[in-house]
Amino acid sequence: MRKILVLLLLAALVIPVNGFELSSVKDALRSDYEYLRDVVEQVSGDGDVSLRAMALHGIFAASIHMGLGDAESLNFLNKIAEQVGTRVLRGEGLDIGFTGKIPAAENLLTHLQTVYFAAMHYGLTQNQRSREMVDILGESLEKFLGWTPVYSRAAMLVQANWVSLMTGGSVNREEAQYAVNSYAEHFQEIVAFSTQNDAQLIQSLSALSSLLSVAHEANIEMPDELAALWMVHIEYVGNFTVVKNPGQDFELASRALLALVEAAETRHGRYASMALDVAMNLSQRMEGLYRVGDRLLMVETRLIDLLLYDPAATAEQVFTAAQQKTSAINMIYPTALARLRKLASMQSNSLEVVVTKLSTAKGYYPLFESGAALSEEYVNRFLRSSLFSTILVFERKPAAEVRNLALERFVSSSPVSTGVLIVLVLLALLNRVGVLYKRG
Amino acid sequence: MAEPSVRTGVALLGTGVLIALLGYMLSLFVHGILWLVPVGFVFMFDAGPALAAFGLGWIISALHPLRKWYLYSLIAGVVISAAGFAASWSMPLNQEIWSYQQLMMTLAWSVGPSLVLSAVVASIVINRRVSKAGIVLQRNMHEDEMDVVLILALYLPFITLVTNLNFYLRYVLPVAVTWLVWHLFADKLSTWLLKRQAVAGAILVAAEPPKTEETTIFNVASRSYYPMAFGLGVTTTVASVLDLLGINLFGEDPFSASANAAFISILAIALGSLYVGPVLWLFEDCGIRVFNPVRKILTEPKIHSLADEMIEIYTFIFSPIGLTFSVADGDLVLALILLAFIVHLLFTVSMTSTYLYLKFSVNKHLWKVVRRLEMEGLLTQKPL
Repeated sequence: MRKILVLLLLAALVIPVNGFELSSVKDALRSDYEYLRDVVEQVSGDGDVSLRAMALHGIFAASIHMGLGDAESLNFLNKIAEQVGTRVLRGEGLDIGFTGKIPAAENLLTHLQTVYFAAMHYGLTQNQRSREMVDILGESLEKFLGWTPVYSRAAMLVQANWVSLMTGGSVNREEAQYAVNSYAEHFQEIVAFSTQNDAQLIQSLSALSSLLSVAHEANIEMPDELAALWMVHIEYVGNFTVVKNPGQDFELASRALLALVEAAETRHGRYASMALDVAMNLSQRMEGLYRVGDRLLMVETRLIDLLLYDPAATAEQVFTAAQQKTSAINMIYPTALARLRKLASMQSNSLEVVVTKLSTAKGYYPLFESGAALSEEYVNRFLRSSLFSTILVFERKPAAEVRNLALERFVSSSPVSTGVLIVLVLLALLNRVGVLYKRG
Repeated sequence: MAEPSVRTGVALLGTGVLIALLGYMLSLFVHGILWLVPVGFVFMFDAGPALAAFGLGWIISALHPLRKWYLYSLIAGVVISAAGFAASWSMPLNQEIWSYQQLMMTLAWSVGPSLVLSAVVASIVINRRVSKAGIVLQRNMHEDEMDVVLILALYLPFITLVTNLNFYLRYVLPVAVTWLVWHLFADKLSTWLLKRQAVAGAILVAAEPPKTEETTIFNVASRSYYPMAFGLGVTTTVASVLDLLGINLFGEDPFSASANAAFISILAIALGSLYVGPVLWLFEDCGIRVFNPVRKILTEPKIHSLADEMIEIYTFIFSPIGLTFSVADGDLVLALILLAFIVHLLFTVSMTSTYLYLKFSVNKHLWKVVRRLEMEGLLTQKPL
């Protein structure tokens, strides 16, 4: 009998062990937070720091806060948002409406990164000033670029609500309805954007999937033509040459994989299942190209994908880098895996390998060739924090959903259950004390 | 017996139905007034059905108050809540079946809890009057079966998980382990503890014949309380110690982490609750008294007061704090939800184990304890 009991205890200890430890992911993210805090402190007294650099710090901080979810990182994020908000609303460091006061390339990049930051901050905190920034910058971008499914005001509101949804918040129904109407009105623009090239078609699929997730959460019916357009996008991306043969362009294939995972996450009928199947197959085909044993392989990457996250790079350097290539360890592939493993069980342990390699709390793991970026440590940590916060957000998501569902149920839609619970606990205490009635 | 009365119950039932109807009317006519929409919703799906259910429970309790008919309201409330929860859980949330979903939610969160509250309030009112009048309540004819119904209701929310291994690991295996440990060791530990007192100079007196344990709903439920509280304390301690040591054995969401902490603590819970559960019950029911020849007093055998009193204080103060930091990542709301989840898990395990022990082990153990002490000549038959 003793042997049986010992075996049972051993089985209990072995079963729940997971592939990698989340505590090391959190520690690495905390070290990124300390690094960023030092960087921001150094430049805070410097009036010359560009709005784009501040917005980039903001995106970095928002990403860290999404992962850590603690008050300290939130406080830090809010401070950056305060500074960025003041400058945007005063019109300092950017040219709202693209009137020609600032070179268009610099202004465009500042607009894109600032509006993206504002959307993340609004999604995380529901801060009305950030919402105002989303409106102002979204409209300004629409004026310059025309309506696009990726950079329009509606797209940024979807992004904000998606961030809110992923971090356990709720979806704003009015904003979701506005976004659905806006996408339906600009059906032709979506088609025009998607048919430009494969990369834009992938971006459109991501945007449509996010819209679908947000609309579904807000109980808003997607118009048939938009749902059909989303399905067509899945079919096109699923049939890309790089999806069949990811070795041709690993980076594009990783983007396609992530877009297919996002489509699968909508859990919207047969096409979501189809996207999941294609994504599972693609992820398996990409594994051999991504690592050998526990060694991560560098693949050809567009230099712009590193310089975009470099606060020291000028807009000119960033746009020039669009045509240049470098070698880097891809971070989109493990990000897609972190989300894919929440949809289906996977045999692959590539994510575990990446996390083990990258989760060093002291310093950082170099993801690209030395000299490729001006602020090497910054870009390396930025890319790492993006993956790690995704892992933590998706780990926390089921609990965050239950927490919010329970809060909504007990506080807003069923106050009676809360009242009954309180009265029952009170009666139990009174009974324990023995004041309700004398026992015979 | 004036209360609970059928008349009051009917009045409450009628008012509840009227409130629900008012809510329905509001939902039809106030599309333009946004703040009235949630009020209409709460009237129709929450407050109205809850008050009507309270009235119904009151009527049932009032039909035969002295025969504890409030137990029917109580069991109905638990079963309706569990069934509604299971039904709403098993359906995907979407627009087409929204009204069905809402109905199930109303049953789970309004009707069920209200019936339970109605039964509890009725039982307090009846017991107060009975204790004042000096009357003894009669037995409810279904009291013996209600514990089984209650246990089944506790398992009902997991009906969709019967094919999931985790269900068996977390809700079935712990029951088997706990009951097995109790069944194998409770009588031996009780005998050893009594022998120690005899060796220390006390005289053990067989004052009464052992009482036969009943498996009535209150007996099983109240006896499940200490093992459950002890399990909660152990689980929180295990989770907190692992967290402090930086050992992350769980790596999943907080719900799985909490369930895994409870699972890892099975053997500790089973062994520890042996002392605060079965040993305590055997002491209470074996009919033996401990005579202290120095102080000349005769007392019932007791477990150590520290174990008796500390469990509640430790468990219910430390658990929310411990869980907040060890598995809920500093989120107090999530910690309270986790606490409710673990209380359900441990109460289910504890109540099922207690039922099995009271049904299959306790009566044999009572006689075994008495016989062993008699055989060793440690039990005095005559009252001193």
